[in-house]
Amino acid sequence: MDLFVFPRWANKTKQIAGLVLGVAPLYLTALVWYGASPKTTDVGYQPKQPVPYSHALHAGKLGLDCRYCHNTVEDSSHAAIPPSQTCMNCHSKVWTKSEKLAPIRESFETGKAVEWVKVHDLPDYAYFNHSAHVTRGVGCVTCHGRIDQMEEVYQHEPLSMGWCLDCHRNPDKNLRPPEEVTNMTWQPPGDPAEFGKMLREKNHLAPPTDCSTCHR
Amino acid sequence: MSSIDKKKTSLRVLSQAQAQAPARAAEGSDTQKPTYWRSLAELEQSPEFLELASREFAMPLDQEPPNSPGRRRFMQIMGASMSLAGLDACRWREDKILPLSRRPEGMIPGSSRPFATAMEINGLAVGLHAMSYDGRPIKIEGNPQHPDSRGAAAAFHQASVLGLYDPDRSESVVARAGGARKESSWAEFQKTLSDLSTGLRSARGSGLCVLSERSSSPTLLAQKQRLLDTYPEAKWVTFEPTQSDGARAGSVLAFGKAHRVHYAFDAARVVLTLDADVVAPTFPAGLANARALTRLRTPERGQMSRIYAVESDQSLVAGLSDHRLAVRSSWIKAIAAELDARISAKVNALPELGAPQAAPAAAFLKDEKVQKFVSALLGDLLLSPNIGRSVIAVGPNQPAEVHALGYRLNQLLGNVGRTVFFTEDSDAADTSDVAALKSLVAEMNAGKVSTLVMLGGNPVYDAPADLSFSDALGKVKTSIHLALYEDETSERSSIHLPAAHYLESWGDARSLDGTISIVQPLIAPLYGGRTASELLAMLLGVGNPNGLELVRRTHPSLSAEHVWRKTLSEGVIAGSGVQRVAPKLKPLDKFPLSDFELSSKGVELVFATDAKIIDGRFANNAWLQELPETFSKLSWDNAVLISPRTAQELGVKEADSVTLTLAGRSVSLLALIAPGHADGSLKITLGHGRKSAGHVGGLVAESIDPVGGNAYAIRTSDAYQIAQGVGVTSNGTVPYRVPSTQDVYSVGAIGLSGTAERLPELVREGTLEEYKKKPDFVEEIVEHNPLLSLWVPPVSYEGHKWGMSIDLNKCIGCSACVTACQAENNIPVVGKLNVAMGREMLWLRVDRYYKGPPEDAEVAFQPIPCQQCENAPCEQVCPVGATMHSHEGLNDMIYNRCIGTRYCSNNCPYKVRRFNYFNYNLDTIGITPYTPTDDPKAKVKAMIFNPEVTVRSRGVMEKCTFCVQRIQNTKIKAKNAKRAIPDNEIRTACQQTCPTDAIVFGDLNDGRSRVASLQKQPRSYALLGELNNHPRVQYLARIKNPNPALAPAQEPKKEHG
Repeated sequence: MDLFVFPRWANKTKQIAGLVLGVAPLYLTALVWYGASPKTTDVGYQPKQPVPYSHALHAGKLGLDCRYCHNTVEDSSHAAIPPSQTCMNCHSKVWTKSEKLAPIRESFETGKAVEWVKVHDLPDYAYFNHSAHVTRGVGCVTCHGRIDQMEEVYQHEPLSMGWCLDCHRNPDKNLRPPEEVTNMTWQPPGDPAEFGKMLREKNHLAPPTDCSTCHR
Repeated sequence: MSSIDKKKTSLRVLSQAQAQAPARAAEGSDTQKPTYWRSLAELEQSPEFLELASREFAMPLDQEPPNSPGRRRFMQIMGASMSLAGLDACRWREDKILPLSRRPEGMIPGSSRPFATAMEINGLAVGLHAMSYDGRPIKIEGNPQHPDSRGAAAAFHQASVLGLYDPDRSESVVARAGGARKESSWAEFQKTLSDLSTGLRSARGSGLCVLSERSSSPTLLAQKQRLLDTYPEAKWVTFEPTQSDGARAGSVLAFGKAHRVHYAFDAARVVLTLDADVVAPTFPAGLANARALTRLRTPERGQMSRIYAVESDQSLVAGLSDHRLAVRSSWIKAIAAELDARISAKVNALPELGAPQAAPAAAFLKDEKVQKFVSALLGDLLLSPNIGRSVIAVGPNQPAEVHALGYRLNQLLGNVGRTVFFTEDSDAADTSDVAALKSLVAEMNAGKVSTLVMLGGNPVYDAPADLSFSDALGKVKTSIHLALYEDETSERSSIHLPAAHYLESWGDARSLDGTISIVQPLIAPLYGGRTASELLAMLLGVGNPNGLELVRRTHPSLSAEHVWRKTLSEGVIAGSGVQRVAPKLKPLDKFPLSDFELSSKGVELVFATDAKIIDGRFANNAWLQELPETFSKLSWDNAVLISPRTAQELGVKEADSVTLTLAGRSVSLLALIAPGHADGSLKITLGHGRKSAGHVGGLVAESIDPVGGNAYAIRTSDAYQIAQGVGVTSNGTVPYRVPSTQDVYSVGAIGLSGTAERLPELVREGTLEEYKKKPDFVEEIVEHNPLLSLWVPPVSYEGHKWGMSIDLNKCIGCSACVTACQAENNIPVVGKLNVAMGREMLWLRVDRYYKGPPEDAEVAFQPIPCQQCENAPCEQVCPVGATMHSHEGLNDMIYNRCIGTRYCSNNCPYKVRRFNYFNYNLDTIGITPYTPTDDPKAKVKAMIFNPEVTVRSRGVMEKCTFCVQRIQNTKIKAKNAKRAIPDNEIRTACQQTCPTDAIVFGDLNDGRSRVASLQKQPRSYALLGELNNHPRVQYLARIKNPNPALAPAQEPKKEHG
C-alpha cells in the first residue's frame, strides 16, 4: 500500500514548483536578454582575417594615420578598406618575401581582391555614414575602440540601435574637434560634457533621431 | 486659439457665398459640367463590374489560389532559386569585403557617379546619364545637355538597365546546322568569317548582304561605306519595323528631297496634331517636344497655347489638348485636304506654291461636329497674331501625302522658319524600309544571297507577314544574326552572335537634329557581347576590333585627350547638329482619295508602336511589361482597342477575346473598349506575342506563354500602317482576369456616385477665362467646415520641410516617373496574376480619369505618390511604430519594424501603400540580403538593386518616401562641405525623369524654392485636404484654353456669390 502513498517530501512539491515557475521565466528572460544582446553576441567579435594585419603595429607603433588607408572616410559612407595597392606602397620595399603577405602580393599581381572579413557588420536596413560622423568630430576611437592597440581587430562597442541613439540624443561627451578624430589618445581639456557642448554649438550639430536618418 | 491652424481657418471660413456654391457634380450633372469617371464598366455599372466590386477579394475563389501553378510558374520563370539562410549562429552570416586590387583614381567605393552615354532606337539617340554604383550601372537619367532629352528619360530608357542584367541574354556564339544547336565561340566564328571573306573578296562581295537596324551612328555609317568599297557587289538593307516612311516620302513630294522636320512648340500659340502624338517618347524628339509644348501651358504667364488634336486613338497629347476630334486615321488625309483648300483660299498663296487640293466630297466632313471643329480651328490658325506662330504636326502613321500637306500648310501659315524648321536628311534611303526588305527577300528567295549578316533586329518576328522572311532565310547559306537574345531570328540563322548591350558598348549616334552623342560603356560586356561596329570591323578583316578605337577614329576632331574627355563627360559633341535649311516647296499634285478614305464603310486597323516595348525589343523586360499602359491601365498584355459604338456594332464586349482576320491571316487577342476612340477604327500595338523572347516575355520552347497577341502576324507590306478590310469575330470573354489596374478599389454603385461627387474635387479644373477672372477658383470647389486641430502640432518643422507640387496641366500620363521610381526604390515585379488580383507594388501610380460621353471622352491624369501628410492617418494606427513622422515632415516607413497588420493601408485616404503579399524579390531575383545564393544568374540579377534602399521582404508594407535616400545623402554631403542645400539639388526620381517638368520637389521652408512658390499659386490645392491631414503634396489645377467658338452651349449655372 505504501506504494500508493505520496512520501512526506512530496508535500514540498507545491513550494518547489512555485519557486521554479516563479523564477524560471525571470531567469529565462534575463538569460535571453543578456545572452542575445549585441553586447554579448557582438562585442568582442574577432573573425580571422586572410592576412594577419596588425593595427597595433601600423597604426600604433608606426603611427600611420587612419586615413592613409581608409582614405574615403571623410567623403563617403564607407571608410573603404584599402586596395592591395596601398599595402604595396610600402611592402614592395619592406618585407617583400614575407609569407604572411603572400595574399597581398598575389592580389596585386592578379587583380583579384583579398577577401577581408567584415568585423563591424551592421544590418542591411541600417544606413550608417562615416563621413557624417567624422567631419562632425566623432572620433574613430569612440566607436571602434583602441584600434592602435589591437593585433587583430575586434568589435569594441555593441553597435546596437540603442547604443547609436544614446549618442544621437546626447552627443556632447563624444565630440571632439574634427581635426582630432583620428587621434586615439585625445582627451578633452576640462569637463568632457562642457567641452562637447561648446563644440556642438559651435559646429551647429543636431544629431537627428528620425527613423529615416538610418532606415530607408 | 493656439490649437487652431489659423491660416487654414481664415482661408476656409465659410462665407455666405461659399455656402451657396455647392459645386457638387453628383446632384446635377445636367446643370454642371460633365464629370469624370474611371472606367466604362463603372460608368455603365455592368453586371460584371458590380459582381467584381461586391467581392472582398479581386480574385474570384474559383480561380487559382496564389500558390497554384500559375504563381509557381511565375517564380520559376523568373528563375527563382529558393535557399534558406541557416540558423548556424546567433550572429548573421559572415560578410566579406572585397576591395579592388588597384583602385582607379577618384573612385570612391559605395557612392554613385553619373556617366554620359546615349541610347539609340530607330536611328535616333537620346542622351542619358547612367549612374554607376561600384562599377555597375543601376539607374538611368536623362542628359540635360542633350537636345532630345534635356534631362528627361522615358520609361523604356529607365527600364533598359534591367535588360542589361537579364539572365536570358545570350551568353555565347551559337552555330546551328540542320536543326542542331551547338555552342561555339568568337574564336571559332573568327575562323568561319575569315574563310567566308576570302570567298567573298574574290566574288567582289557578290551574294553578301547586310541587314541592319536603323542607325545614325557616324562610325557605323563610315564602316558601311568601307564595306561597300571593299565588297562593291554587296548590298546593305536597313529595316526597322516601327519606322514609317511617310515623313521622308512626304518631304520628297513637297521638296524633292528628304528632310527632317523640327517643331518649336515653345513658340507656337496654336498647335494642330494630325494623328501625331508629338509628346510620346517614341515620336522623334518626343521628350524635348513634351517639355517645349507644356512650357506654354502655364496659365500664370497670362497666355496659353491652344492645342487641337485630330486622331483615331487617345494619345498622350490628347490629355493636353483643348479640343480633340476623334476620327479614323484614314480620314485624316481628307481633313488635311479640306484644311489646305480652305487655308489656301484665305491666305492668297503665292502662285509658285501651286493650286490647293480640292475640297473633298466626304460625308463625314459635312458632319456638324467636324464642321464646327474645322471652322474653329481655321479661325484660330488664321487669326493674325497666330500667323507664323502655329504648328501643324503630322504623325508617323499617316501617308506621304498628308505629310506633304502638313509641310505645305506650315508654309502657307508662315510657320516655316519660325516654329517649324527643316534639316537635310543626307542619310535617308531612297525607298521605304519595307520596300527595301521586300526586294531583299526576293533576292534571298532567288538564291542570290549567300551570306546575310543581320546587325540586330528580329526580322523573322517583325517582318511583314506576306514576305515569309523565315522561309527566305532558310535559303541563305550563311546567315549571321547579332542580337542581345537568342530570339526568333537567331533560331532560324546558321550563326547567332551575342550582342553587347548599349551600356556595355562604345559607339556614337545622332539625335533628331544631328547632334552626335558618344555611347560610353559603363561595364565590360557581361556575356562577351560585341557591337554591330565591332562585327563590321571583323567583316572588314580586323582580327580583334576595339570599339573605343573605332569610335575615336571616326572623330578625329576629338583626338586630343582633353577634348575627348570633355566630350565623354558632357555626352554630346557641341555644335555637331545639322544646319537648318529652308527647302523650297514644290506645287503638290492633287491627291486621289480612295473610297475608304472618304466613307465610313468597314473598319480600319491601325498598327501602332508600343509605348512600352516599342517593336518587341523590350518584351523580356519585366518592368515595362508590368507598367500599366497609359489609358487602358493594362499590364502584362496588349489589346485591340475599339470605340464603344464600333464594339456594339461588331458584337464585341469589354475583355472579349477577339480574332482579327486580315487577308487570310489572323491573330487572337484581348479586346478593350476605349473611351474617346474613333468609331470605325481599331488599334493594335506591335511587339507583343513573342515566342522566343525569354522567361518574361514568352518562351514557347519552355512552355511559357507569349505575353499578348502578335500584331505582326497580320501586318503585311501593303497594309503596313493602316489596314482596311479587317474582319473581327468575338470568341467570348478571355479565360483569365484582365491584368489591369483600372478598377482596383472600385466599390459598385455607391462608388460611382461617390466618384462622380468626388472627382471634380480631386481633379480640379477650369478654363483660362475662369482662372483669369478668379485665380483661386479651386478653393471654392470643396466646401467644408473650418479645419480645427485638437492638439498643438507636435512638430514645428524647423530646418527642412519637404514638399512636392504636381502640375496637372503638364502631366501627359507617359508613366516614365513610375518606372523611374521602380528603378530607384527596388520595387519588385509581381507578375500578371498578382496584378490582376490588385496586388501591384508600384509606389507611384498615375490615375487616369475620363470625362464626358464615352464616345468623346476627355482624359485627365493625376500622378499619386504618398502625400506625406503632416497629420498622417497611417501613423496613428500603426501598432508597432513602423511608420513615424520625421522632423522634416516625412512619413518614414521602417520596414524592419513592420509586422504587416496593413492597418495603415486601410487608413490611407490615397491608397498609396503597397503590401508585400509574397517575397517578390526572392521570387523574381532569386536573392535577397537575407537569403544568399550561389546561383550565378541570381547574382547577376541582383546587380540591379540600388544599395541605398532596403530590399523589402514578405509581409512588409512599403510606400513612397520622397526618395529619402537622396535627401539624406545630399544633406550629409552638404553638411560635410558646410554649405546650404540649393533648391533643385535634391530631386526625386520621378521629378528627375519627368519630360514636362510637372513634378517639383523641394524645401517649403526655403522661401525662394520653386516648390514653395508653386504651392503658393492660387491654383494649387491639396488632394482631400478637407480631411485635415495637411498633405505635403499639392496639385496645380488643370487649366484649359478652349476656343470660345467650341464652348458647349452655355447651361444655366447656379448663381455664384
